[in-house]
Amino acid sequence: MTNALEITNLCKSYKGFHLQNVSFNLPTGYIMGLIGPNGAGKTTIIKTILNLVMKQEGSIKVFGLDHQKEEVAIKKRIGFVFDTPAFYPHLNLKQLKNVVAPFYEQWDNTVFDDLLDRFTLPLNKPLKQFSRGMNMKASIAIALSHHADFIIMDEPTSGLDPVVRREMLDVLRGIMQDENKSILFSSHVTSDIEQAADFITYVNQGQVVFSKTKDDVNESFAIVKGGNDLLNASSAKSFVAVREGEFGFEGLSADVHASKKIFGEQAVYEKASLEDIMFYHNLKFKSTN
Amino acid sequence: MLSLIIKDFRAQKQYLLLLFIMIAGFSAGFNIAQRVEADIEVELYILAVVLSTLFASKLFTLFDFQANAALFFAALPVTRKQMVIAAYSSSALLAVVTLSVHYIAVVLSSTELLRAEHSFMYEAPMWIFAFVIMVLTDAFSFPFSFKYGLVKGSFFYGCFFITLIITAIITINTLNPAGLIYSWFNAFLKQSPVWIISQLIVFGIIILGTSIFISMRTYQGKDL
Repeated sequence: MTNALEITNLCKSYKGFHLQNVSFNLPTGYIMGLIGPNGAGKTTIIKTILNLVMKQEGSIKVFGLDHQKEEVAIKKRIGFVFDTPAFYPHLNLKQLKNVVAPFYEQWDNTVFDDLLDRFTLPLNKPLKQFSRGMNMKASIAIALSHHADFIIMDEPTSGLDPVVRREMLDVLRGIMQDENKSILFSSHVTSDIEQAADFITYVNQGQVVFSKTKDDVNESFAIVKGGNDLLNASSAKSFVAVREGEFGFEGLSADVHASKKIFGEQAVYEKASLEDIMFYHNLKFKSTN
Repeated sequence: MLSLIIKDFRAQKQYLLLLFIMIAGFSAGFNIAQRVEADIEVELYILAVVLSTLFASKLFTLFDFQANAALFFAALPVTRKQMVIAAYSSSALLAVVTLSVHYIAVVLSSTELLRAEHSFMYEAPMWIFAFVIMVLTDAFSFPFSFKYGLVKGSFFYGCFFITLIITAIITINTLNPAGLIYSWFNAFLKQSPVWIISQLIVFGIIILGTSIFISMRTYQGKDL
């Protein structure tokens, strides 16, 4: 299996923020969701892949090529969508297409026109009159019209209404009909990731907490609930983080089989959602810092 | 890289057209005012030409800043080096076009009397000199913009420029007229015009080359 993206020990420091030894791979043909709370480092990772932010250490390979040495060759095969569209607001989509298309040898007007039809986007309306949803759709249309092999999206669904979000996810699934395409998209809307992603990479405070297939995440994590009498210093260690209440405890286990051995039938085991996973990991980070 | 230069002209064509109409109107207006005997200082007109050309040459940078477009264009299949060269080229190209519009408007609106009165305005050296000023302004200002962004960069460039002027004034006023720098300057001016221009061109190329090199080095490592 080849990798569309390989990140190894990526480090980047800003004042008050450090990306520390970030490593994960995205196999070709899959969708990876990059999740994490605001300020976790998702955008920095994405910008570093696109060489918009300079790494300090580590290596990034896209299609097996060094992302700095082969920057132009790589970017020709990448489509990107940023959380805030950075286009000239006075242009309409026809004019924007005329500005962007010359940068891509593979630009396909038919694909662009089809996407505009599908998204019901007007060709002659200035972008400043577009809603956020329309702007996002326009960004996606631009990103997909040059037959990119790798689509990178930073928070493409944030601030969108549920209908547009669903449409957006349908588009992503449509792209994946071609097994040579790969997608990396960041979001803190965990339901989107749960619906669309094959792989999940969770980032918090500049560190990768885990990078696994969605099935692995579903199988390994669980919410464990039980009476306070079950909880002691030893059993509490089996949780990522635990909350104690008047009537019992609730904790996130990263190894449901190990938890079942400890608590047996006396505890209740529920599937952990990504939101649960993020919440409890965040609790852990807060308690350790 | 050509796409990077052309994209600005494509994207901002209506604003450019508007600007050029205003510039042509201004230059033609200067001569029309002269015809009705308004007493306008030619030096003021030349200053206005330089300032309007300076503004026009920075037009694309201003639009990119307003739309935060640097991030978008840096994500396209281009290198930072190409972006730097495109910025210098676009600015120089805009300066040439703006000065040409000024020149054409002033020539078309002139009379023989006006041409005789201000003959230097209709000759190439003044316009070449204005272009050289533009290029040198770019050479000094772009490294600041690439390092600090448009707003902070303009501030630092302003500080640098004011310091430069004050230093020059103080130096001139405190130098001994019989001293080394004065005698070197006098000797420089006594050379043949062709030789002086050649030396200035070489000096300009060195300044511009150094500026492009510094901008590339700066922008290469900049986080967008």
